[in-house]
Amino acid sequence: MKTEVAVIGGGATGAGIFRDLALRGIDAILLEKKEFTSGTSGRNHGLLHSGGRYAVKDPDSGRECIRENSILKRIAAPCIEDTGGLFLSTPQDPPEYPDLFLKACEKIGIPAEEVSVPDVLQKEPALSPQIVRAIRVPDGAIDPFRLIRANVEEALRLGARAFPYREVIAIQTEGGVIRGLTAKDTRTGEELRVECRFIVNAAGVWAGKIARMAGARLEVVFSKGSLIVLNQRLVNTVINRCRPPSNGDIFVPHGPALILGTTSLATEEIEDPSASEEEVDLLLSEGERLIPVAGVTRAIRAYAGVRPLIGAREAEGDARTISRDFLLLNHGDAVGIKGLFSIVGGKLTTYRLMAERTVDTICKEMGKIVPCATAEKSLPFPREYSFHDLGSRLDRISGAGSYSEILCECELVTRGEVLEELKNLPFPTLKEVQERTRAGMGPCQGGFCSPRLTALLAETGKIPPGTSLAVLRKFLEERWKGTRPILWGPQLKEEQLIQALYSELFNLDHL
Amino acid sequence: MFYDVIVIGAGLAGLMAAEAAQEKGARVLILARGMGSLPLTTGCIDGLGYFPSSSPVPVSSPLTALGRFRDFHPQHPYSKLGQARILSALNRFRDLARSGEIPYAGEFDSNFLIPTALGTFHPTCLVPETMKNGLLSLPGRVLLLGFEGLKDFSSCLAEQNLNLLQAQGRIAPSFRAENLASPGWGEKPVNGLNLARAFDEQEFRDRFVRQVQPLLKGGEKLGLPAVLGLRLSYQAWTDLQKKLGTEIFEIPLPPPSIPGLRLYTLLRSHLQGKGVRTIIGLSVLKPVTEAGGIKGLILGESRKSPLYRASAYVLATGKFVGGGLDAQPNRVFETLFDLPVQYPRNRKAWFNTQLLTPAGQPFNSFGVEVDEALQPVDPAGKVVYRNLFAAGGILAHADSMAEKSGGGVAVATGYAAGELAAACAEK
Repeated sequence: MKTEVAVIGGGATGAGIFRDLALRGIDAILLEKKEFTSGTSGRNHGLLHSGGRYAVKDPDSGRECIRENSILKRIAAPCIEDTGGLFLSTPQDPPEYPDLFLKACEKIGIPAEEVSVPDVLQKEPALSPQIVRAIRVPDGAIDPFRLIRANVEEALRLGARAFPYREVIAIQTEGGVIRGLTAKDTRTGEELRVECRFIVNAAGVWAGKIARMAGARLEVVFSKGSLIVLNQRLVNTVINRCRPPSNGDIFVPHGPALILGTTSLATEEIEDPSASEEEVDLLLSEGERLIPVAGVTRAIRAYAGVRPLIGAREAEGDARTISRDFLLLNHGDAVGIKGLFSIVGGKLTTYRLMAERTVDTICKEMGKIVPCATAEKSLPFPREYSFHDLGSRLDRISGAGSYSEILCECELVTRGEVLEELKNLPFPTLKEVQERTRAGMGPCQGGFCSPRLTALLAETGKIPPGTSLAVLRKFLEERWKGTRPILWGPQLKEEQLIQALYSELFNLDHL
Repeated sequence: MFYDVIVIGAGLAGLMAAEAAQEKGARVLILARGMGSLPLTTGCIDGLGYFPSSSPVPVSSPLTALGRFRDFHPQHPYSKLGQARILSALNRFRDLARSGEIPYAGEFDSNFLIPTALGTFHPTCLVPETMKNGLLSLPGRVLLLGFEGLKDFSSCLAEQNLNLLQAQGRIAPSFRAENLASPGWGEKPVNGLNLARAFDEQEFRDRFVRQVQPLLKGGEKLGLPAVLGLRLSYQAWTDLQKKLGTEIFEIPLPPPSIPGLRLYTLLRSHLQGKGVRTIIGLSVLKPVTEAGGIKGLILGESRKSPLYRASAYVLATGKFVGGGLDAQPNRVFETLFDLPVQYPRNRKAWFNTQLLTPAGQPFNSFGVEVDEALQPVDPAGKVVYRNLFAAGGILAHADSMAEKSGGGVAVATGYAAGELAAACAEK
């Protein structure tokens, strides 16, 4: 296969670059070793930063965030919930920080406004009455799955080609110039040879590995961040703790749920990170300072993502002091491998800017002058796209009298919706079906709908006969990793019921 | 309001305890928060499916396995009861079910493998007659029939997986799948309960027979999801077999389970007929204790809330699902009397890293420690309350999920605890 640019990594950065290239009329392919959004891009808070969190320590990042924040609210509105955000100072936090924060925000153009604590408590009654100061910023919630999908789909529509489940195993150079790469289909083992002049390494935590394949050097530091999904939308606003960034100080409302995070731990475990019991306990004890009922609210899942950070040498100890800014490396300049670019670090909020800079650099290298259009052109979303709202879903289903059609009772996802999504998925996994429909994202975490979804995959011939139990088992083991650290109270009851289904009745523990 | 025995919990263990106590002439009251866990079960009575639980091969005879069981699991409820008490309880259960027109097939001394909705097999020893033709040791050809809209039974999925087991030589029969079009009920959803109610009706059954006849090939048995009737299942099954001229069997589905609901209804109405009083739907129940014993239970929170008193009590509130146990991030406790529960302090030790392992999950065998008379004891082995007995899922050391022993443990310990409580009340 021949192309101009091969982009490696189906996260936000790779997908953004893929779209940007397509919009500028440059032939490109996108390679991802698993499903799109399966790495760090799908394992975070889903927070559209205002930049406030970085304002004091990392003003460059803060500046980029606020700029991108307003751009994304324009071009990706259907996958953003414009909740607004609050930075709250508790009696345990440094009393001078709110003033530092306000000053820093002003300096870099983040609209931050101090608001009265009683007003805030009236609007958000779940917040701790101990709060001493409150500052409003334009944070929001963003759905990374939909965002990335929209980026990929627009590029595909423009004629670019995307290849999930293709893991790059070798990069070919000739006399210090990129010639192509080899990728392996992770499901069939089949090899794909790609001839190209340019390779963009947007592989996130795997970027160092990719660079090494081309004989280049790139040092990436891994920092694990864990998060907890609470089953109730206790607040309607993004809640931040007004202190230097630390553990468990952000809550982001997403649809009917609330996500609390994060931790920051040095890790070498990048393939399949999971949250530990200790991290869960730490997050909840910190989270309770802002929302006292957080610790007694039903937690339905805990998960973890690994941040690829750059600037290792400057940082000692806490990886939070490392810049959350990104690094664009033209390996042609650095080590003399012409045509290889690495883009590492950054945040979901700044993915578009990272893509713009990368593609600008490639254009320069190609000697082309094509302006970037991604900041103006809206991303494509189906017309009825909106944030997952259970109320209007129930209305629709009861209006049509189609209760038997509901496959996922927790999130009210119908058989028709799943079938519609399956049309676009040649070899779906249960996880993909979930991410696209939200089936299985609710309190039972797919405990009851996953056999139904598996049945649908078997009935439509999307999975080969005889593989259904393996598909289901893989999903259940993955799910278990997310439920195990938060099992007590109501979720432990739920889990015992799930055991009664899969172990006791279906006997999957012995088959 | 004074009773001889108060049973707390309306699952299989609680209902069997009430039965045993009333048989001994005790005046019995059942107090329960909800309808118990029976609708969450298959309706089959599992004896002992795997021993040791990590064995890949199912036990062929639970009764024989129990001979060695005691040496490996001295604290298991089965070991505390002994064979004779287990067998008499199961026999009593079977008689009771038969008299309520849910006859059961099987014996405690041999296990059956029955198919599940997922197309896997489940070892059990007593099955409702409506399931007995589905035993996977019986060779033959089977038509699996699903209902469009009944989302927890996919005949296609079950067929694929069962035929795979057949190809591996692990089960005898072979399978074919078909689906029946939705009954077209409009707004009324097609679910287990609505189908079961429909199968109670002659007219619906006759229409069903007309639809199925052309699909059945000569010599084929018919496997259906377990929805053949709610009140009149045995009658509906007999009628369908006669009219279709072939053997029919039900396949258990995920909860809510119709066979479990049938059994619950049967036991409740039998006990009601015997004068056992039942109060269900309690949200608040508070114990009142006195020098080493239970004095009574207060229902509700107001000052006028009534105190229910009895000479003896049976605690059959189940595990976490039933609400007998609950947990905080670093603590497991018994919810009504705060009885001693043994568990590792570190939450990590409550679970295995793998979900589906024959070793089971440690938290499934957490529970209350009892002596041989099923009386809760403290870590020193001393009886906590002289008039309290415990039965069913709340008992420690039985992982019914991994062992496949749920129904058996509930029936045996429930019945024994009821007898013991009645004897205690007599004193």
